[in-house]
Amino acid sequence: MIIIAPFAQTLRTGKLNPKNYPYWKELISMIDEPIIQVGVEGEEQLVEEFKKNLPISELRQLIQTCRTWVGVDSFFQHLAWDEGKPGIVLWGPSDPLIFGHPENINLLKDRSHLVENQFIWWEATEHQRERFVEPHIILKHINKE
Amino acid sequence: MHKVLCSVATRGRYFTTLPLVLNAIINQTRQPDKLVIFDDNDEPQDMRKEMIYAYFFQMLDIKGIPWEWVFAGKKGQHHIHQQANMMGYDFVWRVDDDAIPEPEVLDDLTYWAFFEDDVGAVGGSILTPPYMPDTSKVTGKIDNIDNEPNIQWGVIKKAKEVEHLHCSFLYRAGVHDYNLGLSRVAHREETLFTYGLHQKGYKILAVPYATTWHMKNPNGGIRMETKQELYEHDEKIFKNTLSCRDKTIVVLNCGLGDHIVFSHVLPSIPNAEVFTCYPEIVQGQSIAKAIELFGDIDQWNIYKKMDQWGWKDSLENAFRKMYL
Repeated sequence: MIIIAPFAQTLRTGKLNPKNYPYWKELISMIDEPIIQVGVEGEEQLVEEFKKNLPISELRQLIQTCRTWVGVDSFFQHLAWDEGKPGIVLWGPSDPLIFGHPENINLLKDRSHLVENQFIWWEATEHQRERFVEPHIILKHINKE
Repeated sequence: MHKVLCSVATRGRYFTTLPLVLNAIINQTRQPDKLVIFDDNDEPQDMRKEMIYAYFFQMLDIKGIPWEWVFAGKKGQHHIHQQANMMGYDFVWRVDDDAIPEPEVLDDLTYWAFFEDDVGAVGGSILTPPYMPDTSKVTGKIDNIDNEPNIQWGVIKKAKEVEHLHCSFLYRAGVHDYNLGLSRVAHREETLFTYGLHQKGYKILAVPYATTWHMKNPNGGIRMETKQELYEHDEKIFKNTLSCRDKTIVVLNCGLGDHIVFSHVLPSIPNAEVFTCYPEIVQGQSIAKAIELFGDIDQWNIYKKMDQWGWKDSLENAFRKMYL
């Protein structure tokens, strides 16, 4: 079983969070393995099993049961790291050298896509699909894990 | 060579002591690398039209001292000093607008400040005639602040390490923030600031020869506000800060993931007093309580700090830099 944590925190402006991976549907269609999505109420459901608003303790238990996980730069990657469970993080405008953990596979397309100021509110950054790696690259890593 | 910014915050003293202060700064034997006058007057004026000031500005230009006249935000001098603190200089010499430094003050202060890498702030005597207390036995310790005069009020005959300073001192910039939660009167702001440097492990020195004459002026001044409740508000923040002086105050006004990362740093922090948004991750008191106790919590904003530091390393190491 693979866990996916597809979305970063919803922005107060209602705009799409620039850290959200744009090709989840394509990626999910390529994975031949049970998937559980984790997240919060209001996020788009991408797979049949969507566990919303789990308490932290239950989320920790769930992390321990998965083969691997795939997520964006959100709290989930820190929680899984805290649980000692390596996974795959899909990076766009934020810098894995600052916000990531070397124990994970950090997939960043190119450092030139990082925003210059990493410490501003993400509301000020536009979502750009071209910042992210293609699904087939992620699939290779999922199958290696 | 260390770069020194000279910062003067002024209010209501255009035509009394401010010209004397500017003249004294211009005629220092060691020139500052820049002079900034923060004009906090209720009705600011264009002083280029005043003959004396026009001469001052020409003298600064001729002497090659860059200068700037900044119209400040009328929020109190702590906001002004924080602005100076973050202007990218190595040291800031803050001079009150009624404090007239003798010609060698900056030279004397920099001698001590540059002598060792761990000096946080240096101040000399600030004499207010006819009040001249004997401060030779003053400890300069924060515990005695209500029981002894400030060491700067008397003639300092030999250098002494203290825990706080009172007025017109030279300090290492960008190391510690002014508490912006204080009211407009900014009561105790100098003490809180210099004591904060001391708590971060920097030496605070009271040194001889660097004499400044305080021409205490009942009119004008950055603290011309007299509302008692403002002083009481600031005194409460001061006392609350002191009551935590043996602890490392941690304020986690940040995201859930940040709390998880911080939880790996917490065991290394001695005697941490934590204020938290997510007690299920890191136990502690609420953020509202931190605001109530300390007024301003922005000084613990890890994202603001990383921005100020031009941070390129990990978030975990940023927390270590902030708290260890």
